[in-house]
Amino acid sequence: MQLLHHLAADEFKERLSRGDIPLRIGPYVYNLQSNVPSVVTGIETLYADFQLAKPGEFIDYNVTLECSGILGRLRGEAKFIFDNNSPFDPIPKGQAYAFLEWGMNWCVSLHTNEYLKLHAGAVSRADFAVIMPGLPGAGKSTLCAALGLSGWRVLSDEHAMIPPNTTEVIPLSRPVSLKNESIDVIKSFSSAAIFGPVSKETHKGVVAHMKADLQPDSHDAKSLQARAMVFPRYSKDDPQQLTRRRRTDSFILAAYHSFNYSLLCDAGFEAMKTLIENVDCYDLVYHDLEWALMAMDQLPELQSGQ
Amino acid sequence: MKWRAHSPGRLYDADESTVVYFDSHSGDTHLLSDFAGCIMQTLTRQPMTTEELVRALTPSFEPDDTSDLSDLVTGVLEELVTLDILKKT
Repeated sequence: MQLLHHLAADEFKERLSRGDIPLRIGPYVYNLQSNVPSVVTGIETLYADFQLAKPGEFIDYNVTLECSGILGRLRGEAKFIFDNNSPFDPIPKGQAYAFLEWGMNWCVSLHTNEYLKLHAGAVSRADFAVIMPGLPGAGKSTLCAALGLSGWRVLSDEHAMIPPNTTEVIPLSRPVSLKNESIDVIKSFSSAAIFGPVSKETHKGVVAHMKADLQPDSHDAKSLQARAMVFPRYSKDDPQQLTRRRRTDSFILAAYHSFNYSLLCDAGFEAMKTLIENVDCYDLVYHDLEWALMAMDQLPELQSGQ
Repeated sequence: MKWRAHSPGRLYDADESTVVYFDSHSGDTHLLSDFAGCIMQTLTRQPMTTEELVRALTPSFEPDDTSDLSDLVTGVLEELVTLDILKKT
């Protein structure tokens, strides 16, 4: 099994420049290409422990982030290319790494419908998997990052992928995207956090990605049973609490957070029903990460105490 | 005049005060009161007049006065029409 960091630095850069870095990420293979220095550094740092797919393996997503042409170089712009198409306008080169990660999210959000996909973080500890849907700004990624630095396995920061009519979560571990104040919060939380390039002045503000494959089984492709669904919400003012929420309310909110629930129609309803009736649902309001981690650690006990 | 569901519909009842109703005609998902869910469940089996519906629901709700149930049913039916999951035929 060859990992990305097994490649010598020169070989890595050369292969990346010509589009020959096929990374196994969850059930998919992303083939990456880039000549943008921040993207080269970011991939080298954050994907160092990812497995390289074997030559000739099927590539699910061909992704390029490149700065090309006279105009592109003069303007300092880079563009995202997916399967030889540029679905987005060029972006400033300084935002290229964040854009690569968003583009890689987009590949899954838009193109795969074999799973019920929730816009959610997913984490696990000792085979106890938790799905965490959340609106942008809810504190989902910050919590994911802190959990990842505290012994939990980050299954995904963005997509909880559920095979229909099961309660399984398919791991799709990639770096955790942190924004603005959250970056310093996590830097203060743990000096062990490894960050990629910082992208400034994006439409989401300052963005940095944190290496999240920190557990020995981080790249295990086997699915895990979801046991709880937690809706995190960061609030400076509200009292911190972990409270049960109704399944029917949770169904509606989870459907709202799904990328393809409506697209799947009846199959989506049945998939969501199977998931919701087999997990316990909670609201988690927090402002202190240590408290939130303690609350998350209590989840298995809360379930076994029913 | 009978009340008819737009689609066969799908219901998720978790034994709470609300239920989830999926209308496959529109693809929309609704959070309904358990009473409204019971009405939809009844009407997805077969279209009914208001009187038939009240008669069908009476054993489940055992109202003191069936006119109270009739008023309640009428109000909920109008709301379900507004949600576009029910129609008059």
